[in-house]
Amino acid sequence: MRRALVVVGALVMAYAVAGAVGDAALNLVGVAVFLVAVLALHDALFLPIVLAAGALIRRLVPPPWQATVRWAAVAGVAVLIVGLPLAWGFGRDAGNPTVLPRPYGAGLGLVLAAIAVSAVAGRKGIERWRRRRPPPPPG
Amino acid sequence: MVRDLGAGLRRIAERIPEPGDFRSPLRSVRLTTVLGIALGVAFGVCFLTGVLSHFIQHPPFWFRWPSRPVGLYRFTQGLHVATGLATVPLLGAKLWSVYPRLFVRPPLHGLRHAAERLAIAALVAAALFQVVSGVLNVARWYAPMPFFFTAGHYWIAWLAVGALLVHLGVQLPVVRAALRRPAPAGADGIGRRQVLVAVGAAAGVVTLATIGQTVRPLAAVSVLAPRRPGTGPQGLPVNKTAAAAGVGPAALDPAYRLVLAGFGRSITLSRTDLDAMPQHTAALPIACVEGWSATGTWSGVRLRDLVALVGGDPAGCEAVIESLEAAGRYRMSVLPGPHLADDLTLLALRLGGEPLDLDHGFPARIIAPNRPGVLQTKWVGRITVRRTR
Repeated sequence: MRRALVVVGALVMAYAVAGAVGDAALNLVGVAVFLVAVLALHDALFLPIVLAAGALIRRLVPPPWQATVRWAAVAGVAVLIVGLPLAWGFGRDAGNPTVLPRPYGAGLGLVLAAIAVSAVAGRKGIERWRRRRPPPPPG
Repeated sequence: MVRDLGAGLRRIAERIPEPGDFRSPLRSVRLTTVLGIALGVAFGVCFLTGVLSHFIQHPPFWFRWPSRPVGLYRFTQGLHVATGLATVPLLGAKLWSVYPRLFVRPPLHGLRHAAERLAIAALVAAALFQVVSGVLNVARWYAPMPFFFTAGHYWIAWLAVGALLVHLGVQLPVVRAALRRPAPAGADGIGRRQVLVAVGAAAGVVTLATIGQTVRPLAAVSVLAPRRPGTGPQGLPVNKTAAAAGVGPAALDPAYRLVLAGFGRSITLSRTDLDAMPQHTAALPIACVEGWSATGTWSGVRLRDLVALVGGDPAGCEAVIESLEAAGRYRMSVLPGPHLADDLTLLALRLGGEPLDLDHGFPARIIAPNRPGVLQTKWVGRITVRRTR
């Protein structure tokens, strides 16, 4: 089973390389540059920033709030990755207003605000629910 | 001098972290396994729907795509883009969970280890390539991509899936062991669940913020949807305008004639001739490869009626549709047999009861059920019917 997966996977990878090399529409150098660039930017820049942010949360945020802040940060970063290319608007087309028709900067702010509000409200709700419930029996 | 260089390199090496330096208690083999399985499913969905879309546009000889259900392609391609966008937090979390292993010491021991690390590098690079290029494509921001997006996204998908299979083969014992053991309870269990809930909720937020580009009732909520159904001339978004295609003068020329050819015959039809033929109406979506879709009410002439004009039977035939565009990747499309024979396939002359907007393909365009928008050729100048090879 394991050997079969590795062999089939290697064959599929070889098919991908051969297909890319044989595709006249494809700039191979461009593809290689982009592959290396996304890997390097992610591993050497993006993730270290995420780790630093995570360490800050651990150091600065009171422990009962850490999970809440962490989820808001994860959702916020995901939304920024999807939303920033839209908000920057390099893809807009003066001749075609149906492309990127919305105010994405405002939309991004709205979603981030909704994440923050729902995180705080959710945390407060959980605290209230826990206070009402009798504490679990010891042991 | 050499000694200085050596000492300098040693100092740099001492600053590179080791796996033990990453102390987050949230990481665990079980978390990585669960994230990996979810990510594998997401990549599987994207790969299958993506290859399907590629085959519909560039059919291999054995491939047949039906004309029904009408909205199947709208669903598969909407799913492709929605799943890809939801993958953003999932891929981020998976790579975070295994990041310490990047710094394993010694960096390489033996050929087998080197091959494994190379395969991992290919997998991570290909996965990031797919997600980042997909996000850039729906934002229509092509400048950061030094290659033709469609071809790059297609071939790197194969690379990603191949590397994923290799990875699964290498890690299978770890996955099995992690799933066989009962899930750790206590602090570990709480931490793992917190991460999974955070990632799932983040994926949910991204989906809700964008899915309205194809699920119309959510259009008001999806403030980050790259397109909005209902926005555009006659209530439909446009991918390529008449100005961008350079067809304005030819399309608006009163001397416009549609050339209909096949079976050794060729006839020409003016807009008036087409208007005089039996008119039919169909509510069909434009379903873009970029994941948005919007339904319009089209009316015009059935393709099968046009085939009959040159004395053909749509069964066993296909039609080559050519646009008035002088050039361009989507100037021409082939309408396969099932779509040619389908009663809903129209040479549309009107949208919502009005003559087609120039940007929607005036004087006439193809609209067929269950097809990518790029194949719904606009500004049709010539239709050639031929027997299927």
